[in-house]
Amino acid sequence: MVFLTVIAYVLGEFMAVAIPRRGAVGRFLNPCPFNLKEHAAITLMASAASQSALATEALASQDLFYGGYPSKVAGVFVVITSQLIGYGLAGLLRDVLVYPTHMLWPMNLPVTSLLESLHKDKTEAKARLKIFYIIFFTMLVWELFPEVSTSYTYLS
Amino acid sequence: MTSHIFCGPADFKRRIISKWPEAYIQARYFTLFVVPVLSQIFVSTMSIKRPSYDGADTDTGIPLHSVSPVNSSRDGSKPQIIDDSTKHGFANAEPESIPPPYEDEEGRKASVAVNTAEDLVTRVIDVEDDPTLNVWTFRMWFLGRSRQTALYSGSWDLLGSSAGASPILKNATLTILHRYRPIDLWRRPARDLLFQAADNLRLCGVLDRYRVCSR
Repeated sequence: MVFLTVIAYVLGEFMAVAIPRRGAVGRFLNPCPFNLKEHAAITLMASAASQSALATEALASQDLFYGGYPSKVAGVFVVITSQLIGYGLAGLLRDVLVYPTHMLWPMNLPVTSLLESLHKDKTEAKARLKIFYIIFFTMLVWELFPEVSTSYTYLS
Repeated sequence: MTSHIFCGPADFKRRIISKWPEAYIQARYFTLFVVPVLSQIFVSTMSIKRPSYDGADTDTGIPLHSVSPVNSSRDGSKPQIIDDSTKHGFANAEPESIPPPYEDEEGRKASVAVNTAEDLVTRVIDVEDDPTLNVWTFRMWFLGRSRQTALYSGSWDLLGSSAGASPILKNATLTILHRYRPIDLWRRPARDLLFQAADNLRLCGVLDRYRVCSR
């Protein structure tokens, strides 16, 4: 999710700079600088798709390692039903887990503070951004290099 | 009349059409027009009459009806207008209960000690909003939908997912995401690159070498 946030920031800033602002078309495509609310909306939309359903992995391992996966319609329905059971439980528990103000979800705090430090005044968020960029590039090397190398090892 | 072999939903549909064409047309109209309207009525009724949680919020001591974000659908009343005194994000919470941040001689703000969850949230998250900035821009829809589609199609799953899953399970997930596309339900397309890659995995015996499956 942090990856999605960072990529959205880069692409959004690029679109805010590259698209012209004049005329009716420009006012439609580029009405204002890239702001926090747009960024949060993009992150929400994309992160809804970033986590695939776990039933997919069960089907995948059955297909690849054990053989005899169900028919395609059954596979689709298995994924949909398991997801809908989860949605139903979440809807039932909304009054208890979401609405009370003392229900804190600390998982959301990193992305929120990242969004704010990217969009606040640069002078205010300077220390935060410095730490963020140091850890960002370190993690980029740490994650991307083994990922790419192992993928090529498996495919070769 | 030729003998009929039942082989799948398409054949079933064809048989139904040939036997009772008008019934099929009626069923089609039913699914297209009647079911959406009925389900909409059903869902809206449920959301109005949904019983609410009667507990009190422990932080503010206020009944949860007044802090719920869905005041509009409760009791059929109109949405409440939240005035400026509730800009800390909690409706009906007294602003005096949240202490102001300290300032040193240079004007830099330092936060007081964080004791409760409400303190933490109001310190970490900026609750100010600039209503002049628009959210529903072309940029938001373009980036959000395109990256969502890219992630759904699975081609970015390697980059987007966390490092928790093993690479071989990621390959398996990619394979299955491409195998279970909706278009495959009625037409089998040419095998794409990832599908071929998964087949090469089996043919090269990589899976055998790592003892994850036997052929």
